[in-house]
Amino acid sequence: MNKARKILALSLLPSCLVVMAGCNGKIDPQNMDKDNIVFRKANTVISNYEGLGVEWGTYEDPDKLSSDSWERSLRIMDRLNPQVVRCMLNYDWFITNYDDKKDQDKTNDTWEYNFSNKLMNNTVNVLRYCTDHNIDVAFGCWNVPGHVAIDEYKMMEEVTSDVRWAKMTADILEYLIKFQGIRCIKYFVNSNEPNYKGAKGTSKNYNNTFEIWAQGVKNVRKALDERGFTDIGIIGGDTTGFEGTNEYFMGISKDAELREKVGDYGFHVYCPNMIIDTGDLATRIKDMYKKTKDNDAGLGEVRFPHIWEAGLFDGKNQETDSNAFIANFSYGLRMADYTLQSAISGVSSVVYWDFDDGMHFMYLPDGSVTSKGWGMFSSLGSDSAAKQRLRPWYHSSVLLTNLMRRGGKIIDSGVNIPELDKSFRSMGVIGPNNEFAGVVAINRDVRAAEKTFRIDEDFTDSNKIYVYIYNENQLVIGDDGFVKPNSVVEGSLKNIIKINVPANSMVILSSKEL
Amino acid sequence: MKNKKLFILSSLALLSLGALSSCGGGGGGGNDEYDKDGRLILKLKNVYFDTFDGTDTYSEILSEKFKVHLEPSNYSYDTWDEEVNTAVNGDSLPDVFQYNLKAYNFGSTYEQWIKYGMLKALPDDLSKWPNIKSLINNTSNIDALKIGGKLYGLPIANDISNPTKDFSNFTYVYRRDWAKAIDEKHKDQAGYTPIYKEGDVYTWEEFNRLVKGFKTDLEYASGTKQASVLVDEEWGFPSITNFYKDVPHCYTKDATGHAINAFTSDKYISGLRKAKEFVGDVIYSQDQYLYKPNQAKEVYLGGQAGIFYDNFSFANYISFRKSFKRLRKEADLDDGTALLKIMGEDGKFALEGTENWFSTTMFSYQVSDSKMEKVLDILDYLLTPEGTRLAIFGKEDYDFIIVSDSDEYDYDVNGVKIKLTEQGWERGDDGNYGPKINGAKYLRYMATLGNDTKAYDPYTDQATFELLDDWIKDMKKAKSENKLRVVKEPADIDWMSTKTKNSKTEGLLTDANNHVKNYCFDSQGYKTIEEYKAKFDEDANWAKVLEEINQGLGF
Repeated sequence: MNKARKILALSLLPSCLVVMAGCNGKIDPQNMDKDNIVFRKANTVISNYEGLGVEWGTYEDPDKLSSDSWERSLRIMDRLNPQVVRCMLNYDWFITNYDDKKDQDKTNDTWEYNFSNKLMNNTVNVLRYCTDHNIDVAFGCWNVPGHVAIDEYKMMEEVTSDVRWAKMTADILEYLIKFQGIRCIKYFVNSNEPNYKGAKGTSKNYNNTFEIWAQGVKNVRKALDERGFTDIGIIGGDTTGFEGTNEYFMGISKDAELREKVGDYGFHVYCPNMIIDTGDLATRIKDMYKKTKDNDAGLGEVRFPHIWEAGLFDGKNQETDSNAFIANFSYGLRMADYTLQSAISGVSSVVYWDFDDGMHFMYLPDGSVTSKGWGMFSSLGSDSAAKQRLRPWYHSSVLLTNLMRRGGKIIDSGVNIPELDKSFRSMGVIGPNNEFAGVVAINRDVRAAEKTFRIDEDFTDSNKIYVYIYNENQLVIGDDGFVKPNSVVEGSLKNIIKINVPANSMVILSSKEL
Repeated sequence: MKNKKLFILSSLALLSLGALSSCGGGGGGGNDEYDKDGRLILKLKNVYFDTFDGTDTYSEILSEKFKVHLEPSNYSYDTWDEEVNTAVNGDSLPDVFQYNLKAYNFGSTYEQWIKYGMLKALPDDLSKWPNIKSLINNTSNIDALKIGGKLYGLPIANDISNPTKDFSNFTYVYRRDWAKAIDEKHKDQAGYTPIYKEGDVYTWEEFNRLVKGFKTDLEYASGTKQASVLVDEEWGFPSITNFYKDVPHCYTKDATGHAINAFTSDKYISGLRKAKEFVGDVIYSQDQYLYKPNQAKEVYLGGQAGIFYDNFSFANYISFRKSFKRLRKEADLDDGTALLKIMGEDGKFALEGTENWFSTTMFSYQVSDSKMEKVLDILDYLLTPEGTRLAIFGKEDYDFIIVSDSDEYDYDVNGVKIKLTEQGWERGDDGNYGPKINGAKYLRYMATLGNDTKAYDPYTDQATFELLDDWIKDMKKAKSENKLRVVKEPADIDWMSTKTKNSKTEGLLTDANNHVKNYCFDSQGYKTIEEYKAKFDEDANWAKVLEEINQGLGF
């Protein structure tokens, strides 16, 4: 890792600057000051942010994970310090002694569970960590049980609306909560990406529809309530792509009964680079948000939008299900830009896909097995040293997860407008209980950008500003292997800060060390 | 060639299709659907749309430009024919689909589908789409595809920049490194004639010396006792007959112009004797008789064969070399996958002939005029320089910029200097450009296989491209100098449609290939040429088909 430091051009200026808005609240890019930015209370987009996190599911083959690797993974997780985790598993791993009673009636089918296996042990280890670290977990099952080509439980026709799905869900949650003492599960994922149907024989989801999924939500809601798990919300969608998500969000938001059964509006976005680079991601999310809000006034009030899988689409190798750019600095910069654009569009939390290459595997046609390369590192001793190393996007994510905390505020700059500037975006962040504040500035241009910032909001000031620069030349990694500030200066974000944001970089100014 | 099962429309199905045929070739329409944004929905199905779902940013650019909503889907190559036939029979065709139309299924599918009104003809006047018009005008044997003066599909061009190429890339690669190693072993041996030929061009005599040299020192060169000198992909056996025969498949002409059975012609019999000799001399793998698809390739990639015959299209050769590099780390890639150029006894190279197109893009009878025009608008645009740049380089000013002559550039495309941007063309940790989905490129496959853009496509493995491109140039030069014999069925027979030919040719070809294999390997009890020839007399369909063809030829 390059530890080179460069002097940051940073000075404190006494005077105040005013962002000029157009008349009547309408955007008039010509009259806006995009270089002197004030984060004003009035531009608060989210007043109770829910934090950032990462997919940390059950490891498909825990035997590949040595105790040293697990300990290292926990140290890496400690530093990431997420506030949200999505943890997925398969019910197949536990179901045993299944008896369909040789009839068509599904309600009288019986089965047992074998939770004494390495997969449940690993699941519990993950969830116990989350419980101990006050992490909110979206817990769920990838899809209905059964081999995709055999469908031995005959659940793929009705998918999650099958009555047995709700019972299995309640049983397994009951085991985790009552027997294992897990207290972190805040949401249940009613199957992964239900709008991605696929074909019979290769997808368990081939017969799914919004209506089937919605019936599944109602069944699960009833089953959870009956067991007393009323505080576990069901994710409203967990869909992928804007088109499919829009269908589910419209369906949920227009159905007064259904929207009371879901706990959020949840979706996945694997975003093409161009959409992020041009600032268009924010435009698309805002558009979807508005359409949903038009039907459901509860959006942003009682039901919040969350991105449960966040990643970049370009670079995806279909054969190995890995991303060719995952180890590039640009991946971290784009994911940071993605996070910023989603936050200023009202998305309350983002879960990055994913934490560790060692969780998931791709079984190739030639019989070989490869880990799916979407992680922040690989815990697999069998992977190359380069793959085991922490990737740049881990470090950029560490900065953001430690700044954008649960209960905090997100303040738009007012000038994050593609028509005004496609290459530069920024946001103000206020910590929970106004304990700290920060500025995230992302410059996607090939030239440096000179800007001034000021936060016009109350917060407990440390009178120090920790400066972090994320780019290939200036990221500072300490001896412990984790990101450090490039510099610490006396000053306050309540005053005007003049800063030179290098080309293709993220700069974070924070009143606390991240 | 590989046999494909013929799908025969049942008479019942034909009757039901007949009832639906009123729109065929005519206006169609009335069923156009639009998405919530008022964009015309296009349902497109193609064997190349494997990872394309129409939601990428480049598809969005086209959707916005042409006000369409793309709904692409993919055929599996292995079930492609069956899927199309099933959709025809079930009257469930997508708007636009790709079909593997060729001479052998022309009469049993294309002609039948038109007869029963399942396809919509292209407009007579294509002047609105000059690039499509040019593509069609350059299509080989285009008149054979016209029924009643109308064309019911767009032949997908192999290479729109090279329409005169009429030979296939069915050829040999060989272990040049083995040949060199064997020569090195014997370099001090008195009277030894080297088997390796600089430049990889071998006369017939030199080729025979090469295979004998390989045979003698096979274990030395390969490091295994289980290696073979020569293996053919199962559809291509016995490839060695190419140097003797004058047509690739069933029908040829005698000196009087009459159609005869190619498999019993004198020329073919000469080749067959050579093939049997190669089997008997253990030049051909003794397992060749049992080879399944791709098995010969696996043997070669496993380091257990010295010479391998296959279809080395750009895509196949790139994939083949990639596999070789991964599996044969001990060998030099270029020396291990060298293209072998053999001249037959007549002093000429011999390659199987081909049309300059592969498969067709067809329109369901239910497609409206406006929808067809929309599809043609898109395809025509994608064949323009601007559309081609979108398909190959991406979005201008994001993925690439056009620079002036004095600036640094990455590609010169017909005088237009292209500079790729870092944000649009990022490299992965292997140093190669990372994959990303460009819907424009996929859609362009509906008109051309894209060989015209390989030279400047950033994703092209340029080293492999240049090797194969040089081979193509060599073969074109040889053709111009009358040193290449293109083994091709006469077009008047190839595209002729007769009742028995349409229904029986695939079966006759399958049986003939079995007779050839049985003769070469002394299997099934026939060892002599006479016994081999007699097998063809047992099937009365040969005589019947030939009679029909000769009638068609005017005899």
